[in-house]
Amino acid sequence: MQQAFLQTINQHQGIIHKVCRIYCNNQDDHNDLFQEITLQLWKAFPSFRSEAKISTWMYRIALNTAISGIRKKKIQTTALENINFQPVDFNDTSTEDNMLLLYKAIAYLSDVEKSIVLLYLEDKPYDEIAEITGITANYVAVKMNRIKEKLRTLLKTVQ
Amino acid sequence: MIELDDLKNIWSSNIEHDIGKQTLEKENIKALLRHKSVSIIDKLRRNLLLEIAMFFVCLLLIAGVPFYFKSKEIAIICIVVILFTFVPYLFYYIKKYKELQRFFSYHENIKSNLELLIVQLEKYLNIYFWGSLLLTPISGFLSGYAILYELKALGFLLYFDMFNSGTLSIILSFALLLTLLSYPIMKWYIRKFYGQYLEKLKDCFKELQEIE
Repeated sequence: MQQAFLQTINQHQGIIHKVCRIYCNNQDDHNDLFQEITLQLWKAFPSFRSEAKISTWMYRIALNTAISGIRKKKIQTTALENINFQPVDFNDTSTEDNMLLLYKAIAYLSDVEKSIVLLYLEDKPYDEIAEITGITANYVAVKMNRIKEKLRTLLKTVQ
Repeated sequence: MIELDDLKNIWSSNIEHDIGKQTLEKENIKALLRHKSVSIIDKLRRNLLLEIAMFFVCLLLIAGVPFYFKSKEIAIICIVVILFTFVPYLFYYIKKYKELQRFFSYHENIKSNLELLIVQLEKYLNIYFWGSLLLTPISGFLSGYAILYELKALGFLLYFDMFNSGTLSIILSFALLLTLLSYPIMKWYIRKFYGQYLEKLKDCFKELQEIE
């Protein structure tokens, strides 16, 4: 079973990294969360049914771990005014700057909002987001509108 | 103006490259499985195990008290304490430990997981709070008795009757005072170590409820 698990994680580890990227601000936290998610997936693996979608199962466990986990180190929340935001031209090829801006904006969202945004960015349909979060698809849409508004305000402030 | 769709485009065109640098080999993933989990349930389970061990040590110590004092009355008190507090509590703790061992809520959706975790954590904090609060008067009573007994054995308090109602009242008052003092300390301790975390879980859960 361990081989099957390692094979699955190896193939889909991108999901875990993405969750860690959204919830962690530094490499140490990233590594700790990656380890914790892997351990929880391993614990849950025997009850995983192959008819279920692997990515949904992984997102559910990874996001649950990220949201309800105790971080060893307190997440550094930098004051908004201290962030060195640069006006971003999205046609610009400076992709690293764009990603940095995205991460910085996401850092201001709540843990629940982060999970919804991540699934949205991953192009998951509202039904699947609803399945993972436990709220209805209609409310996912409501929540997404609020998050969009929040991000819009945030980005307007920094541009 | 930047829209979320712009951010989505940035994400989809860059994330694979961004996380690609972090990719782990199978052997590294396998090594991770040897580590200890730091999830709240695993933490509670370990704490409960530690408390069971401490309870067991206390039980042995109390069982040894009558042999030390060689007093029939003290032996009766110790037996009553063991039978009516330690043994039931020990069984209860072991039952809760087994429950926590089986508990795994991460395969639920986020909302259900939060709800289950909140219930478990509140349940555990209640057990911990009342268990500790119950032990305080017992340990206060027994240590009060032990101190008086020792003082008498050393030649002090020669005219002090160990088992009259006056002595019992003093020791009971001492035990009660200890309990009253430990109440806010226990509250503070639980709040400091788990309270903030519980609040965080409740906030997340409320956030998911709020939109309904």
